[in-house]
Amino acid sequence: MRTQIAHLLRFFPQGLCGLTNVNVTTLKHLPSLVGLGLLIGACGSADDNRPADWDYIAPAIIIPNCATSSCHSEAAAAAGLDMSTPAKAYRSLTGLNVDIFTCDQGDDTEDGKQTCAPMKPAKNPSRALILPGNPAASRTVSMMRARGADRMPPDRPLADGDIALFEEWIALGAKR
Amino acid sequence: MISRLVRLFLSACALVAVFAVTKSANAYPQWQFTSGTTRCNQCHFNPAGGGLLRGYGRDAAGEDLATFDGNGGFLHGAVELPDWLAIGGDFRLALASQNVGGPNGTETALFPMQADVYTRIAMGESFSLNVTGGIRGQARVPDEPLPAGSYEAVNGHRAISREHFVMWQPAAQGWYARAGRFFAPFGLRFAEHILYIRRDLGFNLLQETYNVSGGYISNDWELHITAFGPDLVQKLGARESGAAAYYERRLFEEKASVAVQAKFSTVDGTSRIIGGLVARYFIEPARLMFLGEANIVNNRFDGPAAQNQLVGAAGFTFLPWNSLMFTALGERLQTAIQVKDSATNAATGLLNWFPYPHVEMQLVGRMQMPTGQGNATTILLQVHYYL
Repeated sequence: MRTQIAHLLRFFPQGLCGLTNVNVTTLKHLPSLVGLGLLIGACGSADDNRPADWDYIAPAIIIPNCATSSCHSEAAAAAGLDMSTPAKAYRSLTGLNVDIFTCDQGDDTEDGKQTCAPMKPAKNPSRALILPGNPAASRTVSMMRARGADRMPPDRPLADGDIALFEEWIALGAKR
Repeated sequence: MISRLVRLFLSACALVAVFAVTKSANAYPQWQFTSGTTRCNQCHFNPAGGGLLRGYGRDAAGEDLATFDGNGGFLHGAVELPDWLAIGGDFRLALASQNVGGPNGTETALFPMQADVYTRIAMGESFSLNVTGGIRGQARVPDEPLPAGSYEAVNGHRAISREHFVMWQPAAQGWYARAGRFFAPFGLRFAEHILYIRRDLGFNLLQETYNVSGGYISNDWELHITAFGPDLVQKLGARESGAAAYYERRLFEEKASVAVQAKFSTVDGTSRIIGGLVARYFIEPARLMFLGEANIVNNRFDGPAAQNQLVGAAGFTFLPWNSLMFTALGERLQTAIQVKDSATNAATGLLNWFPYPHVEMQLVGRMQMPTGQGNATTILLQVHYYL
């Protein structure tokens, strides 16, 4: 087994990050490669060199996570928000004045989660979901981080790197 | 207090929308090789498995795949359908409990998860018309106050047809072709759309595309090639256009398979190329099947440089009997391979028990672990009855 793994590593010295060395010999080891590739797939660096551009963020992060068929798709447009295209998602986040409710920021519990008292209108209740230049006050960020707001997407938290990139885009003015 | 109730109601709606009509195809890839079958279409009419059962599949469901014997036929064999007509259905009731680290903590909902009826009408020896009709869930709340200028749903109907296609298939083995709405054959094809290998590769709930597809099926290998376009009819499915290919080869006296797959799609100035490997290996003495799928997704954007994404799952299924299976999967989704903090791992356990023909009980436990965020846990119990 050890020999086999060593053999496989010769083809994938950097795991799936270095997926440029596939050849015909590799195909003999497909079953092992699938599992091994996933294990070694835990690669990457702590630096995020991705562009904080809407042209990247919309198709890579927003649309796949938000425009699911039953939610913010063209068909369903839950809460009046359509995120099925970069243009519609941009307008949904920056161009609609949404009634925003928030909960009292209760004391943080030991595990760092906030308790939430009944919802009440925010100080500035009717505003866009994103405030350009101010990620901390942008409702969408609060929802992505479940910070005094319901979690979005409702079925899975986004990875911190993706949220951070979204915040950076807002901090840079949330431009298209 | 009222706002709290409204909030809880909206949370429940979101939960239902996530899971409602969860099963887009009742595929059990674990039964390939483990139940004496080699091909998916030994049990199903669908060339890639899932959906309506053939006579062989119904017999197997009645005699081999349930703890207690019964009749797997339509309406438990009470009605004999003519040869040209096949009817089936899936009805599921679910109890889901989820905690995604939000302020509400754990949210629980009991809801109907699926109500679908399948019909296949044979036209001569080679052609058939296949239609699925059902009800879908949605998160949009009727009469919810919305901001001025907000988007209206372009499809407010809850009645849908997830699949409808015409197929030419002169024999169970050999060439086939079909045209209409369905999922292109791709990947492990688990029924659970919440798995990243479905949700993040274009095979999420209701994302069926309109396709022209064809291929070749045999005991040794199968090939499926599909050209697809957006769902312009119900506007429910994916908006992508492109093509997909899946080639699977069986090995070790039909106890294992390896597959290569590729998909190209484009929409709104972006495109993506998926290349993936799929493998399964059944160790019969141990009643253990190892299975996995790994995909590299090359996302190309209108402007920024291309980024590579990783989407995969690997694990095993233990089948002490054919009617009971436990599956454990590790999953990984990494939005950008070079960025560690863009990764989410998940551990998923599935317990499926088929006590009697037409009846399934399933327990799902799942923990998602996004980098730098709290974990999200899901527990789902469902009762499934198929016609």
